[in-house]
Amino acid sequence: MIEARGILVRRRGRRILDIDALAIGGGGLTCLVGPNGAGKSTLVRVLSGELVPDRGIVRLDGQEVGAIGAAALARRRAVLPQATELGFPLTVEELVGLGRIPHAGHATWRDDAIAIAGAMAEAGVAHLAGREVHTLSGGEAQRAHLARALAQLTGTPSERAVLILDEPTSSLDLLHAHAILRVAAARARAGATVIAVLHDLSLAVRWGDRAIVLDAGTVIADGVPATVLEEELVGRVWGLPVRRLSGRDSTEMAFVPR
Amino acid sequence: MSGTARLASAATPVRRATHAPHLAALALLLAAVLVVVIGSGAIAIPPGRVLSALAASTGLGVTADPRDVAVISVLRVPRTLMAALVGAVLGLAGATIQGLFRNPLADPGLLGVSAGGAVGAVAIIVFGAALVPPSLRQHAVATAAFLGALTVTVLVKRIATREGRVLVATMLLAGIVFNALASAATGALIFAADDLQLRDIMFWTMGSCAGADWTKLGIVSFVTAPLLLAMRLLVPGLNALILGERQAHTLGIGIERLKRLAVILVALAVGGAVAATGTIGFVGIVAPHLCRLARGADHRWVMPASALTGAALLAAADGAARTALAPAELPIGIVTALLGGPFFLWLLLRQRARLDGP
Amino acid sequence: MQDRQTMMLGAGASWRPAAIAGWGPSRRAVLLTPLLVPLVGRASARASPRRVVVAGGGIAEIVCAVGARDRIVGADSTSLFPRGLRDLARIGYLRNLSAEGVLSLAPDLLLLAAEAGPPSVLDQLRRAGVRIAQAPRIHDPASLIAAVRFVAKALALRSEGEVVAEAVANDFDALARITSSLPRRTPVVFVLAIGGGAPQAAGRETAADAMITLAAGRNVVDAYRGYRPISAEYLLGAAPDALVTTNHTLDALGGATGLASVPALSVLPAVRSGNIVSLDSLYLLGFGPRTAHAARDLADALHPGGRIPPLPPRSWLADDPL
Repeated sequence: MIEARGILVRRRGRRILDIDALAIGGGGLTCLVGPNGAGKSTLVRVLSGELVPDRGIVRLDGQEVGAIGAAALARRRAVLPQATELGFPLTVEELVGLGRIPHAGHATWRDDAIAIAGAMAEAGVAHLAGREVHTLSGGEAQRAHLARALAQLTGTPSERAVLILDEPTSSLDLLHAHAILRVAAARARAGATVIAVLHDLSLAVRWGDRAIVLDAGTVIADGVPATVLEEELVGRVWGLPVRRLSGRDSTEMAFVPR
Repeated sequence: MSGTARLASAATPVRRATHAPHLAALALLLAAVLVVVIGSGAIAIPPGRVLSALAASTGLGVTADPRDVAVISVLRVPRTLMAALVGAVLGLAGATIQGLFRNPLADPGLLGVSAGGAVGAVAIIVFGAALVPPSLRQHAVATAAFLGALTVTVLVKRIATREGRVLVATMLLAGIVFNALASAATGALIFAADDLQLRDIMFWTMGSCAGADWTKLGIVSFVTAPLLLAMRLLVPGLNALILGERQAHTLGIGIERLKRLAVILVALAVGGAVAATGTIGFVGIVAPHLCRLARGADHRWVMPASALTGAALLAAADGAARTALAPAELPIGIVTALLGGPFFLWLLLRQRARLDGP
Repeated sequence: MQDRQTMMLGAGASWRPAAIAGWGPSRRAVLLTPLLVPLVGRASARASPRRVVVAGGGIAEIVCAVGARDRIVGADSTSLFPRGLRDLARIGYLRNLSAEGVLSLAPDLLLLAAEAGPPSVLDQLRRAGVRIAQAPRIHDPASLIAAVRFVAKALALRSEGEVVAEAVANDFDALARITSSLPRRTPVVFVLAIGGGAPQAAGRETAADAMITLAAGRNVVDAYRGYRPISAEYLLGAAPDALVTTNHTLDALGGATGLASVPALSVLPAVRSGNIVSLDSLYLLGFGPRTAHAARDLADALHPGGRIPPLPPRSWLADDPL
């Protein structure tokens, strides 16, 4: 459970983020949506503890994020960014192994090996273990990075784990985008707090259990995606009139410019 | 643990990923190189007498030909050990800087360490007779080189630090500037030098382990020990840094502390090496690269392996420098450049494909 | 009139007496005098240059030896003996002279050692009309004596030069007689300052090598030409009886203790027993008129108990008082 209270982030005199109160817990996938420049990435950095806001407090399971030791925090909270440029070539297995760094001194080598193998299987990249990451397709590489985040959280009980995905699917094709979110949603259902910043509203509706709409640094709407993301709101916030096309059930939706 | 983890442990047997056997093999290789190098030289001494000389010099009550003892324990062992130590330091520092800059072509020279050392040394070579009292002249060049190396590195780091954060890109640019400034300063000093001093300067900048004695070895060990001992502390951070600073941060690594520590340790160690043996190039790039090519970029392997490889490379190079053109001695910097240059070129050509890639 | 004609012809002037044959002697004198004065001036300058600039320590010593010291108006940075030369205007380093520096002194003559340079500056000076006399390379007694004669001729002090040349020749002959009576040629190594690495030893075809030979020594390093960093083991194997170096080197190392702490030298029996000979660099290696005396001093150091008599004192040996 992440709680944010009285968050204010300013840069060069402009308000980037202004959130009164926000609480995100486990059990379901929370999507963060909004137009470019809405402050989604900034909010995610504040929630993950990477960025200290100018004002306000972020608490992780009741503890102030700033008071948690860096390694302890890393064992409970993992971030998957949009894209990663590796400084040196690594195999998938080596990459996933990096997720175990915060566990040094807290886990045996056996725990690490099991965590790595498990994470690779969960992310669907076990068959690529010996391949070098830079030889993989964009989608496969991103799944390998997801496995790293999963391995990082292994050892922490689900209810206390936080997985943050910062635009994880922006450059991926349909297959890999859905694959990533399927894994994230499964984790959420197992009890972890999972937050995904998404651009594609269809993905938000399909996989999200809760959608938070952000615009100009403030929360515009917050609730079940199908309910919150209606035509009028989307058109207003994104500045483009849209038509909402529904599929068979409330999880299949597309937003088409009118 | 989640259900999927249990599945994995049933399906695949878990192996312990370890680099120990390979590191041990490297250590053996280093030992072999040391043995061969200590056993060879312009004066031919058969292995049996080499051993007696070694035993005699460690006070084991064995008698040996005094000339053998002089050759082995005064001429060969200190300089071979110095070459190994400096090689280890250069290899390790190279691996550290490459990890820090996330670039396989980086080397401690980027921080201006060698250039700063050169300014100090050349200044003493040219003006030492006027500036330094005779009793201190023996060690003046080395001391000045060490201080010069540290000064430039401190300045570079200062310039690159803003609000407590060390900006790696700025550090690179500052290093370029200071390398140029140091070059200019050295050039001005060379202009003021006479023939004899010019010769000294030239040979200092080409590097040599010939001046090594047990005292110097002790001093250099003292300033380089911190880097060698702290290697373990740097490994997790440098591994995390492969993913970039942001992700390293979310993996719980104190990035700023890591950068500060790495730069200070490298400056001390390389400064000490440069002070003792002059500027020796290429080892800092070749050693880590060979190691990465052999077993990947995991710093748990690359760091210790670079140290062992660098030690073996430089000890071998020193052996070659002292025997290849006997009775003349090749400056060791030439040997490393002759071997390192083409290797570097080959690496560059290989990297091209990757650098230009998607 | 007749005298003037001869003088002008001698100075290269070309005029025809027939063209102004109709004039009286006094008239011709009046008309020709303005022409004559500069020509006469130049002729006498060539005959006896008054403002001399020297480059090369050995050459400078020769100039002083032939008695033309007071004519020196400028010198390079290697002209260090006698001491007083250091106070003269400086024209740069022997191999890197300053063209403007030389020209600003308006010399009648620029006297150069063979190694003076750079060639581009010398060309510039020639084109600017400076008279340059560059001595041939001095590497042995014969070339030294030839250089003395060369310098003397350039200064129009032939007779004084002859005196010096003969004295130097006599000194070398005396030295040869002394050394030929010595029982053995002492094995010797000559080293220069070390920048922290291997000592640089003089091989063949170096001034040091020549001096060692003159002093009845044998340079143990004969495997290469010039100066190179030397392998310590080779040196140990070559077993020199003495180590020769310059005061400059010894100072830079911090004296004899400093030299003895250099690993490559510390193992040499010669160094251990203190057989270190150190002489002033210009005296020992400059190949100036003091060379024979320097070689004699070196021989004395290399052959203790050889009872080597001193050579006759010469005026050019004396340094200026402090």
